[in-house]
Amino acid sequence: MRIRPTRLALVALVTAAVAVPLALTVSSASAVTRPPADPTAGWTSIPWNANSYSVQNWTHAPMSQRFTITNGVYNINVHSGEKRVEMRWDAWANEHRENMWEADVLLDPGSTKTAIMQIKSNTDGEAVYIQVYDTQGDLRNDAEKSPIATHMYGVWFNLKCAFNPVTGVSRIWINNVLVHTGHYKRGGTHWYFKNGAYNNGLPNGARTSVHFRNIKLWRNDH
Amino acid sequence: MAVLALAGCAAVPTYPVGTAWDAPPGWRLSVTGMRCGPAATLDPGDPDEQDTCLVEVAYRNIGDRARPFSGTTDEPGPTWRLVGYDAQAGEFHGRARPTAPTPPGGSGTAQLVFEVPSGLRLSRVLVGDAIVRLSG
Repeated sequence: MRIRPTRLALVALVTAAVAVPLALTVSSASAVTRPPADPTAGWTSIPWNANSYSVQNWTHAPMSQRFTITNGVYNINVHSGEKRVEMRWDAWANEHRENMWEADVLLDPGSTKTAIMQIKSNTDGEAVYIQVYDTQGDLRNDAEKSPIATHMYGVWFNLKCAFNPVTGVSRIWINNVLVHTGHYKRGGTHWYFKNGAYNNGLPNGARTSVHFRNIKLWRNDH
Repeated sequence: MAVLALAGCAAVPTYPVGTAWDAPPGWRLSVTGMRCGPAATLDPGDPDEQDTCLVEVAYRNIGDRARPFSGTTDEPGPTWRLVGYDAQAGEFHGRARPTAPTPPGGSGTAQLVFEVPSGLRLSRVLVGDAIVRLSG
């Protein structure tokens, strides 16, 4: 498993362009002796329960074949020719703050051409869109060509995705390392999280299988 | 050929509708048009989907072996990256409908599917390494 430290998605973010590489330098240097700092420090934990999301199984298979929960692990799969199976979370209560979704994620080998996590508005598009896009287990965000992480099959990793509609800034961490800072258009409404398996073009015979555990929701109220 | 810089990307070649380009590995393709409308009509099966834009692509296999335009496990093909943009730079990620294998020298058409809000028409679409201007 390899994760890629962040690169700026917008040259105009001059302030961030200075701050982020410095932060990464510190993070990289200190990684030898201690783990990266928890990005959620100081954030507000948002409680959730089984009513906080709905499972969208837009396949012809029964739910029990596409979505299960075993010992706290949410197991989702989608097959070639099917559309999607996703946990669709409620719209954010406060869209004037940075909101974050976090989970440990396990991607089974063979999963490909599938979006596994989105920060989405039905009217304003997808500010974060994480896809496994090849058969090496490499992950990409949005339209970016280079991966945010490579060789992610078969190993649990912690994924954090955040977006602030007011600033348009999106951020992604893998194992608490910032791997992406982007800039989407500002504003919009009805932002929400979606995790699961959205088929972006699974080849014949292929399937994507992804697992989530320790799902947490956060908001930066500072 | 114009060149457009996308946020976060290097310069991307940009083409108008109807202009063909070579797309690795071994395809020549052009976007021929777009239809947008209710998802229930254009892309049924997902009641959460509002509208859909179907982007029509004409392709020719200029490689030396048969394969589907929509890709295989070993070779994602030109549809490895599909993103639609509205006029305000909103992003709507898409997918390719599966296609049958095309022999060397053969051609065909495919549809790229994008979920969009009601009434929205995409203004640009990123297909692999190229942008196609759909309007303006």
